[in-house]
Amino acid sequence: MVQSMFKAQDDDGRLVAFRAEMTAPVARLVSSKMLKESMPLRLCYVSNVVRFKERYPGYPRELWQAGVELIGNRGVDADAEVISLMLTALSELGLRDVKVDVGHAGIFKRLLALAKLGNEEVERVKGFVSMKDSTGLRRMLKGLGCDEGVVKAFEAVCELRGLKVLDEVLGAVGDEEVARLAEEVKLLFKLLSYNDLQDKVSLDVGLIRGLDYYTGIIFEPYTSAFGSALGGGGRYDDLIASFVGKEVPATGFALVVDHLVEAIGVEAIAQRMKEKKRVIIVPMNYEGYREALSRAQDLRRQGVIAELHPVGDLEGAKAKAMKASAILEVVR
Amino acid sequence: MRPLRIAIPNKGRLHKPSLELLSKAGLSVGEASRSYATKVDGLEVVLARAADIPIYVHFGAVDLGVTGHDLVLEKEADVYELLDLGFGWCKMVVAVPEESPVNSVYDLPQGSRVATSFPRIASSYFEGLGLSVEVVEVEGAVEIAPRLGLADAIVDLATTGATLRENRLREIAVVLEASARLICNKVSFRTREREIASLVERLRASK
Repeated sequence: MVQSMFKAQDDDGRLVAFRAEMTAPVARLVSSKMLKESMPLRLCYVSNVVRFKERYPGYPRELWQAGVELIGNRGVDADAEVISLMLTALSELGLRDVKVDVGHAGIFKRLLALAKLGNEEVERVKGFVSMKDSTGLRRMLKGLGCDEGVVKAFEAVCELRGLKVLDEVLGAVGDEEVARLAEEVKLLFKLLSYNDLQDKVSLDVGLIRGLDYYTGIIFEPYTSAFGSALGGGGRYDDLIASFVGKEVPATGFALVVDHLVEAIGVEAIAQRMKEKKRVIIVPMNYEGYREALSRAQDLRRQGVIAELHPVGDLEGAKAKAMKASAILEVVR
Repeated sequence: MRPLRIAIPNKGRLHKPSLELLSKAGLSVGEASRSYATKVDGLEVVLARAADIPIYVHFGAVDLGVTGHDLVLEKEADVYELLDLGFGWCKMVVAVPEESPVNSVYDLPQGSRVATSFPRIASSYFEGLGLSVEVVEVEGAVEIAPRLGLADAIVDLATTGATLRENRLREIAVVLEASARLICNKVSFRTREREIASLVERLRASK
Protein backbone atom coordinates (compact mmCIF):
# COMPACT_ATOMS: atom_id res chain seq x y z
CA MET A 1 0.00 0.00 0.00
CA VAL A 2 2.77 2.43 0.94
CA GLN A 3 4.26 2.08 -2.57
CA SER A 4 0.95 2.99 -4.18
CA MET A 5 0.34 6.15 -2.11
CA PHE A 6 0.69 9.64 -3.53
CA LYS A 7 3.31 11.48 -1.51
CA ALA A 8 4.26 15.13 -1.27
CA GLN A 9 6.57 17.29 0.78
CA ASP A 10 5.11 19.43 3.56
CA ASP A 11 6.31 23.03 4.08
CA ASP A 12 8.79 21.91 6.77
CA GLY A 13 10.26 19.25 4.50
CA ARG A 14 8.47 16.26 6.01
CA LEU A 15 6.96 13.67 3.75
CA VAL A 16 3.16 13.53 3.77
CA ALA A 17 0.96 10.97 2.05
CA PHE A 18 -2.58 11.33 0.74
CA ARG A 19 -5.02 8.81 2.15
CA ALA A 20 -5.20 5.67 0.04
CA GLU A 21 -7.91 4.03 2.17
CA MET A 22 -9.98 4.99 5.22
CA THR A 23 -9.41 2.30 7.84
CA ALA A 24 -6.06 3.63 9.07
CA PRO A 25 -7.39 7.24 9.39
CA VAL A 26 -10.46 5.94 11.28
CA ALA A 27 -8.22 3.87 13.57
CA ARG A 28 -6.19 6.98 14.31
CA LEU A 29 -9.31 9.02 15.02
CA VAL A 30 -10.55 6.34 17.42
CA SER A 31 -7.21 6.10 19.21
CA SER A 32 -6.92 9.87 19.69
CA LYS A 33 -10.52 10.89 20.41
CA MET A 34 -12.92 8.03 21.03
CA LEU A 35 -11.36 5.50 23.42
CA LYS A 36 -13.46 6.82 26.32
CA GLU A 37 -16.72 6.13 24.47
CA SER A 38 -18.59 3.00 25.46
CA MET A 39 -17.67 0.05 23.28
CA PRO A 40 -18.40 -1.33 20.77
CA LEU A 41 -18.31 1.68 18.45
CA ARG A 42 -20.09 1.59 15.13
CA LEU A 43 -18.72 4.09 12.61
CA CYS A 44 -19.31 4.69 8.94
CA TYR A 45 -17.91 6.93 6.21
CA VAL A 46 -18.12 7.83 2.55
CA SER A 47 -14.90 9.33 1.32
CA ASN A 48 -12.63 9.74 -1.66
CA VAL A 49 -9.23 8.05 -1.60
CA VAL A 50 -6.31 8.28 -4.02
CA ARG A 51 -3.78 5.68 -5.07
CA PHE A 52 -2.07 4.43 -8.17
CA LYS A 53 -1.84 0.93 -9.54
CA GLU A 54 1.26 0.20 -11.55
CA ARG A 55 -0.14 -2.78 -13.36
CA TYR A 56 -3.20 -1.07 -14.78
CA PRO A 57 -2.29 2.31 -16.26
CA GLY A 58 -5.94 3.04 -17.13
CA TYR A 59 -7.17 2.45 -13.59
CA PRO A 60 -8.68 5.59 -11.97
CA ARG A 61 -6.51 7.14 -9.29
CA GLU A 62 -9.35 8.58 -7.27
CA LEU A 63 -12.08 6.27 -5.95
CA TRP A 64 -14.95 6.76 -3.53
CA GLN A 65 -15.24 4.31 -0.68
CA ALA A 66 -18.27 3.71 1.52
CA GLY A 67 -17.41 1.75 4.61
CA VAL A 68 -18.12 0.78 8.20
CA GLU A 69 -15.90 -0.04 11.18
CA LEU A 70 -17.07 -2.04 14.21
CA ILE A 71 -14.64 -1.35 17.03
CA GLY A 72 -14.26 -3.03 20.41
CA ASN A 73 -15.59 -6.55 19.89
CA ARG A 74 -13.06 -9.35 19.64
CA GLY A 75 -15.72 -12.02 19.07
CA VAL A 76 -16.63 -13.77 15.83
CA ASP A 77 -20.13 -12.25 16.23
CA ALA A 78 -18.59 -8.93 15.11
CA ASP A 79 -17.17 -10.52 11.94
CA ALA A 80 -20.56 -12.09 11.22
CA GLU A 81 -22.29 -8.76 11.81
CA VAL A 82 -20.19 -6.77 9.33
CA ILE A 83 -20.39 -9.49 6.65
CA SER A 84 -24.20 -9.64 7.02
CA LEU A 85 -24.42 -5.86 6.90
CA MET A 86 -22.34 -5.78 3.71
CA LEU A 87 -24.56 -8.41 2.06
CA THR A 88 -27.71 -6.52 3.09
CA ALA A 89 -26.32 -3.27 1.67
CA LEU A 90 -25.44 -4.93 -1.66
CA SER A 91 -28.83 -6.60 -1.87
CA GLU A 92 -30.60 -3.28 -1.13
CA LEU A 93 -28.65 -1.82 -4.05
CA GLY A 94 -30.22 -4.45 -6.28
CA LEU A 95 -27.19 -6.74 -6.63
CA ARG A 96 -28.72 -10.18 -6.21
CA ASP A 97 -25.97 -12.64 -7.16
CA VAL A 98 -23.29 -11.48 -4.72
CA LYS A 99 -20.82 -14.06 -3.40
CA VAL A 100 -18.41 -13.39 -0.58
CA ASP A 101 -15.00 -15.01 -0.36
CA VAL A 102 -13.83 -15.44 3.21
CA GLY A 103 -10.23 -15.99 4.25
CA HIS A 104 -8.24 -15.74 7.47
CA ALA A 105 -5.13 -13.57 7.62
CA GLY A 106 -4.10 -15.24 10.88
CA ILE A 107 -4.08 -18.74 9.39
CA PHE A 108 -2.18 -17.57 6.31
CA LYS A 109 0.41 -15.71 8.40
CA ARG A 110 0.82 -18.73 10.68
CA LEU A 111 1.49 -20.99 7.66
CA LEU A 112 4.09 -18.52 6.40
CA ALA A 113 5.72 -18.56 9.84
CA LEU A 114 5.79 -22.39 9.81
CA ALA A 115 7.50 -22.28 6.41
CA LYS A 116 10.26 -20.07 7.93
CA LEU A 117 10.64 -17.76 4.93
CA GLY A 118 12.42 -14.44 4.38
CA ASN A 119 10.52 -11.30 3.36
CA GLU A 120 11.28 -11.65 -0.32
CA GLU A 121 10.25 -15.31 -0.32
CA VAL A 122 6.98 -14.41 1.42
CA GLU A 123 6.16 -12.07 -1.46
CA ARG A 124 6.85 -14.85 -3.97
CA VAL A 125 4.62 -17.26 -2.05
CA LYS A 126 1.82 -14.66 -2.06
CA GLY A 127 2.28 -14.33 -5.83
CA PHE A 128 1.87 -18.09 -6.36
CA VAL A 129 -1.12 -18.30 -4.00
CA SER A 130 -2.88 -15.36 -5.65
CA MET A 131 -2.62 -17.25 -8.98
CA LYS A 132 -3.48 -20.59 -7.29
CA ASP A 133 -0.33 -21.93 -8.96
CA SER A 134 0.25 -24.93 -6.70
CA THR A 135 2.80 -26.41 -9.14
CA GLY A 136 5.07 -23.37 -8.94
CA LEU A 137 4.56 -23.02 -5.21
CA ARG A 138 5.47 -26.66 -4.49
CA ARG A 139 8.61 -26.36 -6.62
CA MET A 140 9.68 -23.18 -4.83
CA LEU A 141 9.01 -24.44 -1.27
CA LYS A 142 10.66 -27.81 -1.98
CA GLY A 143 13.64 -25.94 -3.43
CA LEU A 144 13.96 -24.04 -0.16
CA GLY A 145 13.89 -27.29 1.79
CA CYS A 146 10.49 -26.69 3.40
CA ASP A 147 8.85 -29.40 5.46
CA GLU A 148 6.53 -31.65 3.36
CA GLY A 149 3.61 -30.97 5.73
CA VAL A 150 3.86 -27.22 5.16
CA VAL A 151 4.10 -27.74 1.38
CA LYS A 152 0.96 -29.92 1.49
CA ALA A 153 -0.87 -27.28 3.52
CA PHE A 154 -0.03 -24.57 0.96
CA GLU A 155 -1.11 -26.89 -1.85
CA ALA A 156 -4.49 -27.37 -0.16
CA VAL A 157 -4.79 -23.59 0.23
CA CYS A 158 -4.25 -23.19 -3.53
CA GLU A 159 -6.40 -26.05 -4.73
CA LEU A 160 -9.34 -26.36 -2.35
CA ARG A 161 -12.27 -24.18 -1.42
CA GLY A 162 -14.84 -24.53 1.33
CA LEU A 163 -14.53 -25.61 4.96
CA LYS A 164 -12.82 -28.89 3.94
CA VAL A 165 -9.61 -26.86 3.40
CA LEU A 166 -9.33 -26.46 7.16
CA ASP A 167 -9.19 -30.21 7.77
CA GLU A 168 -6.65 -30.70 4.96
CA VAL A 169 -4.42 -27.92 6.29
CA LEU A 170 -4.69 -29.20 9.87
CA GLY A 171 -3.99 -32.75 8.75
CA ALA A 172 -0.84 -31.52 7.01
CA VAL A 173 0.62 -29.28 9.74
CA GLY A 174 -1.18 -30.29 12.98
CA ASP A 175 -0.49 -26.91 14.55
CA GLU A 176 -2.38 -25.75 17.68
CA GLU A 177 -2.53 -22.13 16.57
CA VAL A 178 -3.97 -23.09 13.16
CA ALA A 179 -6.48 -25.38 14.91
CA ARG A 180 -7.67 -22.53 17.16
CA LEU A 181 -8.08 -20.12 14.21
CA ALA A 182 -9.85 -22.80 12.15
CA GLU A 183 -12.48 -23.02 14.93
CA GLU A 184 -13.10 -19.25 14.51
CA VAL A 185 -13.80 -19.76 10.82
CA LYS A 186 -16.19 -22.67 11.50
CA LEU A 187 -18.04 -20.57 14.09
CA LEU A 188 -18.32 -17.68 11.60
CA PHE A 189 -19.97 -19.92 9.01
CA LYS A 190 -22.36 -21.23 11.66
CA LEU A 191 -23.32 -17.70 12.74
CA LEU A 192 -23.87 -16.67 9.10
CA SER A 193 -26.15 -19.66 8.59
CA TYR A 194 -28.48 -18.18 11.25
CA ASN A 195 -29.10 -15.37 8.74
CA ASP A 196 -29.44 -17.90 5.88
CA LEU A 197 -26.26 -16.52 4.34
CA GLN A 198 -24.36 -19.84 4.16
CA ASP A 199 -24.85 -20.08 0.38
CA LYS A 200 -23.48 -16.58 -0.14
CA VAL A 201 -20.10 -17.22 1.48
CA SER A 202 -17.27 -19.60 0.67
CA LEU A 203 -13.97 -20.16 2.39
CA ASP A 204 -10.77 -19.49 0.45
CA VAL A 205 -7.78 -19.54 2.79
CA GLY A 206 -5.71 -18.31 -0.17
CA LEU A 207 -7.57 -14.99 -0.14
CA ILE A 208 -4.90 -12.34 0.35
CA ARG A 209 -5.86 -8.71 0.81
CA GLY A 210 -3.16 -6.20 0.04
CA LEU A 211 -2.79 -4.79 3.54
CA ASP A 212 -0.55 -6.19 6.24
CA TYR A 213 -2.65 -4.89 9.13
CA TYR A 214 -5.27 -7.64 8.90
CA THR A 215 -5.08 -10.16 11.74
CA GLY A 216 -8.16 -12.38 11.42
CA ILE A 217 -11.15 -13.09 9.22
CA ILE A 218 -11.00 -11.20 5.90
CA PHE A 219 -13.51 -11.10 3.03
CA GLU A 220 -14.28 -9.76 -0.45
CA PRO A 221 -17.64 -9.51 -2.25
CA TYR A 222 -18.01 -10.43 -5.94
CA THR A 223 -20.80 -10.25 -8.51
CA SER A 224 -20.90 -11.53 -12.08
CA ALA A 225 -21.66 -7.94 -13.16
CA PHE A 226 -18.19 -6.64 -12.28
CA GLY A 227 -14.70 -7.93 -13.13
CA SER A 228 -13.05 -7.78 -9.70
CA ALA A 229 -13.95 -7.50 -6.02
CA LEU A 230 -16.47 -4.74 -5.20
CA GLY A 231 -14.51 -3.91 -2.06
CA GLY A 232 -13.45 -5.88 0.96
CA GLY A 233 -12.69 -5.90 4.61
CA GLY A 234 -11.52 -7.80 7.63
CA ARG A 235 -10.31 -7.83 11.20
CA TYR A 236 -7.43 -5.62 12.31
CA ASP A 237 -6.92 -6.17 16.04
CA ASP A 238 -3.44 -4.61 16.26
CA LEU A 239 -3.88 -1.44 14.20
CA ILE A 240 -5.33 0.82 16.92
CA ALA A 241 -2.76 -0.57 19.36
CA SER A 242 -0.03 0.66 17.02
CA PHE A 243 -1.25 4.23 17.70
CA VAL A 244 -2.00 4.06 21.45
CA GLY A 245 -0.39 0.91 22.77
CA LYS A 246 -3.75 -0.26 24.10
CA GLU A 247 -5.29 -3.26 22.42
CA VAL A 248 -8.60 -2.45 20.71
CA PRO A 249 -10.02 -5.18 18.45
CA ALA A 250 -11.79 -4.04 15.30
CA THR A 251 -13.27 -5.18 12.01
CA GLY A 252 -14.95 -3.46 9.08
CA PHE A 253 -15.28 -3.20 5.33
CA ALA A 254 -15.34 -0.70 2.48
CA LEU A 255 -17.22 -0.87 -0.81
CA VAL A 256 -15.89 1.03 -3.81
CA VAL A 257 -18.74 3.28 -4.95
CA ASP A 258 -17.34 3.55 -8.50
CA HIS A 259 -17.36 -0.28 -8.81
CA LEU A 260 -20.93 -0.43 -7.47
CA VAL A 261 -22.08 2.08 -10.07
CA GLU A 262 -20.52 -0.03 -12.81
CA ALA A 263 -22.01 -3.27 -11.45
CA ILE A 264 -25.52 -1.86 -11.08
CA GLY A 265 -25.26 -0.05 -14.41
CA VAL A 266 -25.55 3.66 -15.12
CA GLU A 267 -28.84 3.14 -17.02
CA ALA A 268 -30.37 1.18 -14.15
CA ILE A 269 -29.41 3.94 -11.73
CA ALA A 270 -30.84 6.64 -14.02
CA GLN A 271 -34.02 4.57 -14.35
CA ARG A 272 -34.35 4.30 -10.59
CA MET A 273 -33.87 8.06 -10.25
CA LYS A 274 -36.65 8.56 -12.80
CA GLU A 275 -38.98 6.24 -10.95
CA LYS A 276 -38.60 8.40 -7.90
CA LYS A 277 -41.54 10.80 -7.51
CA ARG A 278 -40.61 14.37 -8.33
CA VAL A 279 -42.68 17.49 -7.71
CA ILE A 280 -42.08 21.02 -8.94
CA ILE A 281 -43.77 23.68 -6.81
CA VAL A 282 -44.21 27.16 -8.19
CA PRO A 283 -45.51 29.96 -5.93
CA MET A 284 -47.25 32.57 -8.11
CA ASN A 285 -46.42 35.43 -5.70
CA TYR A 286 -44.51 36.04 -2.47
CA GLU A 287 -47.68 35.57 -0.40
CA GLY A 288 -47.77 31.96 -1.63
CA TYR A 289 -44.07 31.39 -0.95
CA ARG A 290 -44.57 30.38 2.68
CA GLU A 291 -47.11 27.68 1.79
CA ALA A 292 -44.92 26.42 -1.07
CA LEU A 293 -41.96 26.14 1.29
CA SER A 294 -43.81 24.07 3.88
CA ARG A 295 -45.33 21.86 1.17
CA ALA A 296 -41.82 21.15 -0.20
CA GLN A 297 -40.54 20.23 3.25
CA ASP A 298 -43.48 17.87 3.82
CA LEU A 299 -42.84 16.14 0.52
CA ARG A 300 -39.11 15.77 1.21
CA ARG A 301 -39.87 14.11 4.56
CA GLN A 302 -41.87 11.54 2.59
CA GLY A 303 -38.87 10.87 0.37
CA VAL A 304 -40.20 12.77 -2.63
CA ILE A 305 -37.86 15.01 -4.63
CA ALA A 306 -39.40 18.47 -4.25
CA GLU A 307 -38.11 21.49 -6.11
CA LEU A 308 -39.13 25.13 -5.59
CA HIS A 309 -39.40 27.04 -8.85
CA PRO A 310 -38.70 30.82 -9.13
CA VAL A 311 -41.70 32.87 -7.96
CA GLY A 312 -44.19 33.70 -10.74
CA ASP A 313 -42.54 31.73 -13.55
CA LEU A 314 -45.47 29.46 -14.44
CA GLU A 315 -44.40 28.88 -18.06
CA GLY A 316 -40.89 27.87 -17.07
CA ALA A 317 -42.23 25.54 -14.35
CA LYS A 318 -44.58 23.85 -16.84
CA ALA A 319 -41.78 23.28 -19.33
CA LYS A 320 -39.48 21.87 -16.67
CA ALA A 321 -42.13 19.56 -15.21
CA MET A 322 -42.89 18.23 -18.68
CA LYS A 323 -39.23 17.53 -19.43
CA ALA A 324 -38.48 15.87 -16.08
CA SER A 325 -41.81 13.97 -15.96
CA ALA A 326 -42.53 15.70 -12.65
CA ILE A 327 -45.82 16.71 -11.09
CA LEU A 328 -46.48 20.45 -11.15
CA GLU A 329 -48.07 22.15 -8.16
CA VAL A 330 -49.06 25.80 -8.37
CA VAL A 331 -49.53 27.87 -5.20
CA ARG A 332 -51.55 31.04 -5.78
CA MET B 1 -26.99 -17.40 -18.00
CA ARG B 2 -24.64 -18.01 -20.93
CA PRO B 3 -22.86 -21.36 -21.14
CA LEU B 4 -19.42 -21.69 -19.56
CA ARG B 5 -16.76 -20.64 -22.06
CA ILE B 6 -13.28 -22.03 -22.51
CA ALA B 7 -10.66 -20.76 -24.97
CA ILE B 8 -8.04 -23.06 -26.44
CA PRO B 9 -5.14 -22.18 -28.78
CA ASN B 10 -6.16 -22.12 -32.47
CA LYS B 11 -2.69 -23.06 -33.69
CA GLY B 12 0.86 -23.59 -32.52
CA ARG B 13 2.36 -26.26 -30.29
CA LEU B 14 -0.44 -26.11 -27.68
CA HIS B 15 -3.27 -26.52 -30.20
CA LYS B 16 -3.25 -30.31 -30.73
CA PRO B 17 -2.62 -31.39 -27.13
CA SER B 18 -5.44 -29.04 -26.02
CA LEU B 19 -7.89 -30.66 -28.43
CA GLU B 20 -6.74 -34.10 -27.27
CA LEU B 21 -7.26 -33.14 -23.63
CA LEU B 22 -10.82 -32.00 -24.30
CA SER B 23 -11.56 -35.09 -26.33
CA LYS B 24 -10.21 -37.38 -23.55
CA ALA B 25 -12.54 -35.56 -21.18
CA GLY B 26 -15.44 -36.41 -23.48
CA LEU B 27 -15.59 -32.94 -24.97
CA SER B 28 -14.63 -33.67 -28.54
CA VAL B 29 -14.82 -30.54 -30.71
CA GLY B 30 -13.43 -32.13 -33.89
CA GLU B 31 -10.87 -30.40 -36.05
CA ALA B 32 -10.73 -26.63 -35.84
CA SER B 33 -13.60 -25.21 -37.83
CA ARG B 34 -13.54 -21.64 -39.05
CA SER B 35 -16.31 -20.52 -36.73
CA TYR B 36 -14.95 -19.02 -33.56
CA ALA B 37 -16.96 -21.15 -31.14
CA THR B 38 -18.25 -24.71 -30.91
CA LYS B 39 -20.80 -25.92 -28.38
CA VAL B 40 -20.24 -29.28 -26.78
CA ASP B 41 -22.01 -30.70 -23.74
CA GLY B 42 -23.17 -27.26 -22.54
CA LEU B 43 -19.67 -25.82 -22.88
CA GLU B 44 -18.67 -23.19 -25.44
CA VAL B 45 -15.21 -23.88 -26.86
CA VAL B 46 -13.55 -20.81 -28.39
CA LEU B 47 -10.44 -20.98 -30.57
CA ALA B 48 -8.08 -18.06 -30.06
CA ARG B 49 -4.41 -17.16 -30.23
CA ALA B 50 -2.55 -18.62 -27.26
CA ALA B 51 -0.99 -15.20 -26.56
CA ASP B 52 -4.43 -13.55 -26.39
CA ILE B 53 -6.02 -16.15 -24.12
CA PRO B 54 -4.66 -14.65 -20.86
CA ILE B 55 -6.29 -11.33 -21.83
CA TYR B 56 -9.64 -12.97 -22.72
CA VAL B 57 -9.66 -14.70 -19.36
CA HIS B 58 -8.45 -11.66 -17.41
CA PHE B 59 -11.38 -9.57 -18.67
CA GLY B 60 -13.90 -12.42 -18.38
CA ALA B 61 -14.71 -12.66 -22.11
CA VAL B 62 -14.17 -16.37 -21.54
CA ASP B 63 -14.27 -18.06 -18.14
CA LEU B 64 -11.43 -20.52 -18.68
CA GLY B 65 -8.50 -20.94 -21.03
CA VAL B 66 -5.64 -23.24 -21.96
CA THR B 67 -2.39 -21.39 -22.53
CA GLY B 68 1.28 -21.32 -21.56
CA HIS B 69 2.40 -20.18 -18.11
CA ASP B 70 4.96 -17.97 -19.90
CA LEU B 71 2.15 -16.11 -21.72
CA VAL B 72 0.20 -15.57 -18.49
CA LEU B 73 3.30 -13.96 -16.97
CA GLU B 74 4.12 -11.94 -20.09
CA LYS B 75 0.60 -10.50 -20.35
CA GLU B 76 0.54 -9.86 -16.58
CA ALA B 77 -2.94 -11.35 -16.50
CA ASP B 78 -4.60 -11.41 -13.08
CA VAL B 79 -6.05 -14.94 -13.34
CA TYR B 80 -5.98 -18.25 -11.48
CA GLU B 81 -3.89 -21.14 -12.77
CA LEU B 82 -6.07 -24.07 -11.77
CA LEU B 83 -4.20 -26.97 -13.37
CA ASP B 84 -0.75 -27.72 -14.70
CA LEU B 85 -1.79 -29.68 -17.78
CA GLY B 86 1.56 -31.39 -18.11
CA PHE B 87 2.07 -30.74 -21.82
CA GLY B 88 3.79 -27.93 -23.68
CA TRP B 89 6.77 -27.94 -21.35
CA CYS B 90 9.49 -25.50 -22.35
CA LYS B 91 12.09 -23.31 -20.79
CA MET B 92 12.86 -19.68 -21.46
CA VAL B 93 16.57 -19.08 -21.78
CA VAL B 94 19.11 -16.34 -22.31
CA ALA B 95 21.34 -17.20 -25.29
CA VAL B 96 24.33 -15.57 -26.94
CA PRO B 97 26.26 -16.36 -30.19
CA GLU B 98 28.45 -19.46 -29.85
CA GLU B 99 31.67 -17.51 -30.26
CA SER B 100 30.73 -14.83 -27.73
CA PRO B 101 33.09 -14.55 -24.74
CA VAL B 102 30.03 -14.18 -22.50
CA ASN B 103 29.52 -17.24 -20.26
CA SER B 104 26.94 -16.02 -17.80
CA VAL B 105 24.41 -13.19 -17.69
CA TYR B 106 26.76 -11.33 -15.36
CA ASP B 107 29.32 -11.15 -18.19
CA LEU B 108 26.89 -9.18 -20.38
CA PRO B 109 28.30 -5.64 -20.67
CA GLN B 110 26.13 -2.87 -19.28
CA GLY B 111 23.74 -1.59 -21.93
CA SER B 112 23.84 -4.81 -23.97
CA ARG B 113 20.86 -5.17 -26.25
CA VAL B 114 18.59 -8.18 -25.71
CA ALA B 115 16.02 -9.18 -28.33
CA THR B 116 12.91 -11.06 -27.22
CA SER B 117 9.22 -11.55 -27.84
CA PHE B 118 8.74 -11.59 -24.05
CA PRO B 119 9.76 -8.01 -23.12
CA ARG B 120 8.05 -7.92 -19.71
CA ILE B 121 9.48 -11.22 -18.49
CA ALA B 122 12.94 -10.33 -19.86
CA SER B 123 12.94 -6.84 -18.34
CA SER B 124 11.87 -8.04 -14.92
CA TYR B 125 14.39 -10.89 -15.05
CA PHE B 126 17.34 -8.57 -15.70
CA GLU B 127 16.03 -5.97 -13.26
CA GLY B 128 15.76 -8.68 -10.61
CA LEU B 129 19.45 -9.49 -11.13
CA GLY B 130 20.34 -5.80 -10.96
CA LEU B 131 21.61 -5.85 -14.55
CA SER B 132 21.09 -2.93 -16.86
CA VAL B 133 20.36 -4.07 -20.41
CA GLU B 134 18.26 -2.69 -23.23
CA VAL B 135 15.35 -5.00 -24.06
CA VAL B 136 13.99 -4.75 -27.60
CA GLU B 137 10.78 -6.45 -28.62
CA VAL B 138 10.55 -8.50 -31.82
CA GLU B 139 7.51 -10.53 -32.79
CA GLY B 140 9.21 -13.70 -33.99
CA ALA B 141 12.36 -15.29 -35.39
CA VAL B 142 14.16 -13.89 -32.37
CA GLU B 143 17.08 -16.28 -32.92
CA ILE B 144 18.33 -14.40 -35.99
CA ALA B 145 18.67 -11.09 -34.13
CA PRO B 146 22.29 -11.60 -32.95
CA ARG B 147 23.52 -12.59 -36.45
CA LEU B 148 21.98 -9.47 -37.94
CA GLY B 149 23.61 -7.29 -35.33
CA LEU B 150 20.29 -6.29 -33.80
CA ALA B 151 21.13 -7.71 -30.39
CA ASP B 152 23.96 -9.09 -28.26
CA ALA B 153 21.76 -11.73 -26.67
CA ILE B 154 18.23 -13.10 -26.85
CA VAL B 155 15.61 -14.32 -24.41
CA ASP B 156 13.50 -16.99 -26.06
CA LEU B 157 11.77 -20.33 -25.56
CA ALA B 158 13.73 -23.52 -26.08
CA THR B 159 12.37 -27.03 -25.80
CA THR B 160 15.16 -29.21 -27.12
CA GLY B 161 17.74 -26.55 -27.92
CA ALA B 162 17.78 -27.55 -31.62
CA THR B 163 16.75 -24.09 -32.89
CA LEU B 164 19.45 -22.48 -30.78
CA ARG B 165 22.10 -24.84 -32.20
CA GLU B 166 20.93 -24.32 -35.79
CA ASN B 167 21.39 -20.59 -35.31
CA ARG B 168 24.75 -21.12 -33.59
CA LEU B 169 23.53 -19.78 -30.26
CA ARG B 170 24.53 -20.95 -26.78
CA GLU B 171 22.32 -20.99 -23.68
CA ILE B 172 23.83 -19.11 -20.72
CA ALA B 173 20.91 -18.99 -18.27
CA VAL B 174 17.38 -20.30 -17.67
CA VAL B 175 14.86 -17.52 -17.03
CA LEU B 176 11.93 -19.80 -16.22
CA GLU B 177 10.32 -23.14 -16.96
CA ALA B 178 6.76 -23.20 -18.24
CA SER B 179 4.04 -25.61 -19.26
CA ALA B 180 0.43 -25.42 -20.42
CA ARG B 181 -2.01 -24.35 -17.73
CA LEU B 182 -5.76 -24.24 -17.28
CA ILE B 183 -6.41 -20.62 -16.32
CA CYS B 184 -9.59 -19.15 -14.90
CA ASN B 185 -11.17 -15.73 -14.52
CA LYS B 186 -11.20 -14.71 -10.85
CA VAL B 187 -14.84 -13.63 -10.80
CA SER B 188 -16.17 -16.62 -12.78
CA PHE B 189 -14.29 -18.84 -10.35
CA ARG B 190 -16.57 -17.54 -7.59
CA THR B 191 -19.85 -16.86 -9.35
CA ARG B 192 -19.85 -20.17 -11.28
CA GLU B 193 -18.00 -22.19 -8.69
CA ARG B 194 -19.80 -25.55 -9.12
CA GLU B 195 -19.72 -25.71 -12.92
CA ILE B 196 -16.04 -24.80 -12.95
CA ALA B 197 -15.12 -27.26 -10.20
CA SER B 198 -16.78 -30.13 -12.08
CA LEU B 199 -15.05 -29.21 -15.35
CA VAL B 200 -11.69 -28.97 -13.57
CA GLU B 201 -12.19 -32.43 -12.08
CA ARG B 202 -13.06 -33.81 -15.51
CA LEU B 203 -9.92 -32.31 -17.04
CA ARG B 204 -7.73 -33.30 -14.09
CA ALA B 205 -8.82 -36.90 -14.55
CA SER B 206 -8.01 -36.78 -18.28
CA LYS B 207 -4.63 -35.13 -18.34
